[in-house]
Amino acid sequence: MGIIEKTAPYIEKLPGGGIVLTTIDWFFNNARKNSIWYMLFGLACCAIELMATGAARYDFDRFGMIFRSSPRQSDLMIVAGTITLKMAPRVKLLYEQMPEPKYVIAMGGCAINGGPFYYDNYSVLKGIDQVIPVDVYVPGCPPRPEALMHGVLALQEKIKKNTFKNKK
Amino acid sequence: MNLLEILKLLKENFPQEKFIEDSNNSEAVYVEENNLYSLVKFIKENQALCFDYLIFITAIDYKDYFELVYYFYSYSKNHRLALKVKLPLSNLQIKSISNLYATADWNEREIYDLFGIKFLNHPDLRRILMPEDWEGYPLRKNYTYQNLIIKPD
Repeated sequence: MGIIEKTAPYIEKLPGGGIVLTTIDWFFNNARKNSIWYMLFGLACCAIELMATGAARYDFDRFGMIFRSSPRQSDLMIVAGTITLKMAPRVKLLYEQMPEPKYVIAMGGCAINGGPFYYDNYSVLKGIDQVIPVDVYVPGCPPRPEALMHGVLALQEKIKKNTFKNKK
Repeated sequence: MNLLEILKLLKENFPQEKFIEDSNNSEAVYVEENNLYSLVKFIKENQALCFDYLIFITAIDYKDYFELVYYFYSYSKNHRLALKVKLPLSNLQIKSISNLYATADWNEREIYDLFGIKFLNHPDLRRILMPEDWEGYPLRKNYTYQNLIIKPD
């Protein structure tokens, strides 16, 4: 991986190098977007919906998505639930333990901006994007599995646009 | 035993205590804070009362005083009792009953965490829910927090 990232600027300058580079991009992006392994990680009631999405009826597996119990083997963190101020440093730690490239879906109102705990609340973080960068926001309280799957498809579209070009 | 019988037995053993009944709660009586520990010890160890289970302890902020509520239940006798204690703002401390009921340990820590009432002789009186460096006691009526977003009318 490191080799491609380092040599990409030189490949690009070669005659026909763009075609080679986009083919490499296409190969890696397809590999990544069709095997998004998400972290087995839930904070509140959204996690129940996350589990339902991962289970047989809605079946995350057909996107190539399997939960991993370790952040070190995960590509995607689905922040499912209310993040209290006490929990926020732990969430950040888990995010930092994930290897690159890593993606984050903020699932539900609480993870987006505090949701029902926005007003008159002293203990809840007002959105996980204050702590870690978020790729896709999935609104709902909690979002239905269909909504979460839509969020995953949106993330796949985002991963498709990754390129080694101009990457340092 | 119903509350009248329980109260009769308690009054015989604690003649100095008034046991003011609560008009809103047929199971509750108000007691003095100084008598609470000996009273709890008595109702736990007395064979006729045998309150073997502490359901919960909670606190209420009435702005000019705090109130502690202790709910007891007896599995063997199937009766219950609530003891209420009024704490003045000038003296927010009371003797811990955690050496009598293990339930009281974390309940008292929670009350200390959220209301700031100190429990004397508690084995490990630390914050239980809030971060350890948190300032203030969130469930008090006069609590303010700098990042609090007030709901508009």
